[in-house]
Amino acid sequence: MKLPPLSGLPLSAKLLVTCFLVTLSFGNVAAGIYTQKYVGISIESLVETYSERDREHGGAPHTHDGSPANRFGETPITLDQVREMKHHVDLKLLLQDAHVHLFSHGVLSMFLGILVFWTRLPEKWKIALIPLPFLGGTLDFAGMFLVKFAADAFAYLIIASGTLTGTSFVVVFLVVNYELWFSRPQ
Amino acid sequence: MKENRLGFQAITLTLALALLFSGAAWAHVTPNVQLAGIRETVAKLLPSGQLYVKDIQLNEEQKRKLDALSNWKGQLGDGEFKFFVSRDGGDRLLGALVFMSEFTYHGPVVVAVAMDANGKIADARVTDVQMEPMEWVSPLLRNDYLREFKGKTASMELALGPKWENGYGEMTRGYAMLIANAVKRSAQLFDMVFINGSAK
Repeated sequence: MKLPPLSGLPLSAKLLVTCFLVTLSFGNVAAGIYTQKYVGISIESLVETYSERDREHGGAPHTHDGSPANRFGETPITLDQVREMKHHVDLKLLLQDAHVHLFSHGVLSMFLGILVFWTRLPEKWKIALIPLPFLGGTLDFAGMFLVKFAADAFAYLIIASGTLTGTSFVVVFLVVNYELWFSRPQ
Repeated sequence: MKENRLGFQAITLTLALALLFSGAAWAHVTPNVQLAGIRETVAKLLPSGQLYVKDIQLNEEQKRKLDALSNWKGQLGDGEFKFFVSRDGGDRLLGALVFMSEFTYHGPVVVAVAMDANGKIADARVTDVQMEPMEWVSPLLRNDYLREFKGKTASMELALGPKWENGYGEMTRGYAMLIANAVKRSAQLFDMVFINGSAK
């Protein structure tokens, strides 16, 4: 089956693809805002969100002034010292997040890959571009698990893979829409 | 034209599949909604006495005991918990508060449960829930469901009264049971630490 070029598709098909990509764009922007608001995009905030090492466990974190514990092993604190708990992703929630995100991310990456395959880009560029959305999502979650169990430095992997996901989507968005609307069928 | 139709069909089918699977997956993961902050909850539920914090790391025997209880299945985690404790000037226990997470398919629900010195439930409130289940939890919160637990103990029955069985949808009733379980687990943990463990 020989596929027609993107530029040669009927208007309705072009609209379908463009609307889908625009919707994904909004999804990506919302994801970025959500990450910024609830997780933070600094190394420190990523470590605080995902790491289990050297963390105060068991619920709300607190600070205290170093007063000795009482005979029941309880540390005195004041209300001002009770710190609001930042959003923390424990292992159970991370596994659930990974499960649902990677399934959906895989399907969406597949569709983006099909669109890349459909473009008139040279084969080498297609080979380079198609795996990127898959890698971005997978390495993103790999980084979260590695921060949790291996080392805080893997927070850089989360940032890098998130950037990769966003960048690869932007490239696909621009290339596909260019071929849909601005290039002439050969 | 035939080639154009084939291309259009291929696109439509792929789009439909992509949206079908991605939509279903996203239905279960929604952002957290914080209904009450930690500090404000501690202030409200432990209003008097000197405040302490007690970090609990359950030992193997304690974990085994709790894991044997049907309402603790899959909820033990790493066995680490934190109590906020209030005591009077003579170190007498006035009350204790724990933030208990109940893990659900739609993400965790966090219930803050305060017990008096005898382990009876003094107060409880939902502090965190994911956005999607919020629509099922809201009716419970609007109708003061958590007041049902006042005065109950660790031996409380996990069952909805007639008021909650009738007039609420299946998901709301399900979340009512989850919240009840979080309350019961809090009381059971209190008993283990403060009554049986003599931290009183």
